[in-house]
Amino acid sequence: MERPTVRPPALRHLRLKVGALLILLPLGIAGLTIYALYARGTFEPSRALTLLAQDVDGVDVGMPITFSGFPIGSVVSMGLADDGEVWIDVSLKERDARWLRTSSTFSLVRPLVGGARIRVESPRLADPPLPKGMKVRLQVDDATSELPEIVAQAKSVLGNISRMTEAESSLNRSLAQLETVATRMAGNHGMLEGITGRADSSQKIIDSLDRLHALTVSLNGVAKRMDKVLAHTDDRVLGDAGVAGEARRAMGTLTTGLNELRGSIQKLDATLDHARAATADLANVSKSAREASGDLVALRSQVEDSLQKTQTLLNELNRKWPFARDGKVKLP
Amino acid sequence: MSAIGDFLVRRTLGFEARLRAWGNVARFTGAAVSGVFSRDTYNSATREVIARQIYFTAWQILGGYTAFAAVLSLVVTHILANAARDVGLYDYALEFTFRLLVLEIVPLLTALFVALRTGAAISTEVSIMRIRNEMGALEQAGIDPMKLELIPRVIGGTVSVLCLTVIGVTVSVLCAHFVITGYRPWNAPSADLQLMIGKVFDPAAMAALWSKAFLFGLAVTVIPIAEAIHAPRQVHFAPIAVLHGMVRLFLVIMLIEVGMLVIRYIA
Repeated sequence: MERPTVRPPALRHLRLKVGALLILLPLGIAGLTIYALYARGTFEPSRALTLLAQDVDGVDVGMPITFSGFPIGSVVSMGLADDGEVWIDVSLKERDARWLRTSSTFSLVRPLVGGARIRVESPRLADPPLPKGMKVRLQVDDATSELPEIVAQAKSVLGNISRMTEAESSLNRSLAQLETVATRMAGNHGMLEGITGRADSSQKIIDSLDRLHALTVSLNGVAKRMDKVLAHTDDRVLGDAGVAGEARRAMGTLTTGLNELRGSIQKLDATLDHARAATADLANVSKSAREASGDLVALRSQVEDSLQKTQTLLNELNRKWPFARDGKVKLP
Repeated sequence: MSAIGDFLVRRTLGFEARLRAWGNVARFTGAAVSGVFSRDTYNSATREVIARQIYFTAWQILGGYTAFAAVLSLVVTHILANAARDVGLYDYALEFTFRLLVLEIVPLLTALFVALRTGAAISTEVSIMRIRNEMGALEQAGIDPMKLELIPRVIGGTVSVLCLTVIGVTVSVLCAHFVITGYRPWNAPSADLQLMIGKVFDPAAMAALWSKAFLFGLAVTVIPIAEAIHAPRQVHFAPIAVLHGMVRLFLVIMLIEVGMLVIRYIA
């Protein structure tokens, strides 16, 4: 059973095509591998750092170390120290080492979902850079380990809240009272009723206020009237037709009267002189005496008349002058 | 009694035959691997056979395979991304995709693709060659058929599977990035893809990937050939040899895949 010798079909550019594939194969494998190593930061210089922790539950080799969410290194190895603490050797990219400061904190983050990681935080980038080979404490910031405590606290808080919100709780009573006050405030007498608590009390206050208002109005009228009276008094006392004016006029009249009196007395003097002369001249007495007697009677009636006038004037003045203590006028 | 005896005899014989077949596979694999790394395997005649094997196994299907890898990657990444978004783990979608699609599904499907197409063809060809006693003729002519016909096919098949795996992995990485970034990879921070590649493709993963691809390539050619050269030289045994070879090949591919997963993630 011999197979006829068939020449296999000639394949065009066989060597070229297969050569391309044969070049692609090592290039592809090497390229992917080298790129993966490059992406892992294998070719980048790195620096070592040692973290110290009490408990590394959840930390494993290869765990990423992130700064602002970007991986800057990973855990290389870890072990137990003689004092029972755990040391974690981490390798950080040299180019990212500038983010590490003396004030930087390293914390282990174990989110509820997703893998754990070590987070670096540098709140103050102005601080001096972290020296090489430093030992830094790792803070374990575990969301799950504190969960029981948080749940217990939440329970007690919820218990308090439920006690506060019970029907007979003080908060509810306060709220009810507040509501009562608010209802009163919303009533006819507004806030006044809210404060006094009773509608009639607030009505009383309102009435008192009304009365006060009326009183104020009437006082105002009184004050106005007082004003008027004062003005009138002023007018009567000090005005032209007032007491002072009349007194002044009376004084003028008195002066006139006194002047008249002085004139009469001078005349009396003259008469007396004349009488002396008449006495001396007895010869002419009989004749002159008659004349003088007649003159003397007239003069005496004049003086009497003047004195009467003065007395009347003084009485009048005393009647009109309200401030006089007594009605005596000393005559000169 | 005799029925039970017959049954037991048949079962025993069947088990023995299966054991023998596995032994044949192991023996041929050993011979082939030593031949691959032997200097006298490579001469102008064998190079021609290797080149033709690579041409038929890899070059001919390059376009179709690349398109298949791209479509598969887009679909699988889309499904994974949506599932991850639904459970609020979208940040991990690219990692899921890389671990599942790029490291496992693409190499496995590449091996199955080549097994279906080339493994079956090689098995049939070798069976016919044996039935027609071409092997014997070559031996009488002083030419070792193992060296001229079989080992070059193993080399060509293995290289082809590795080539296709490299292309498939590259295409699926790019497609996954394309889908995860919402079809706007130029908007995504370029560090994302690099970070994820650095994270997922650690040296162990790369070693596992390439050794797995190498084992797949070896299995895809060695098992069908081993099955065919030990089949009885009768025409009606040829389909049985192909069938056995394909079933055994599928089994071995799955064993390699599961074994690699066990080593990587469990052991």
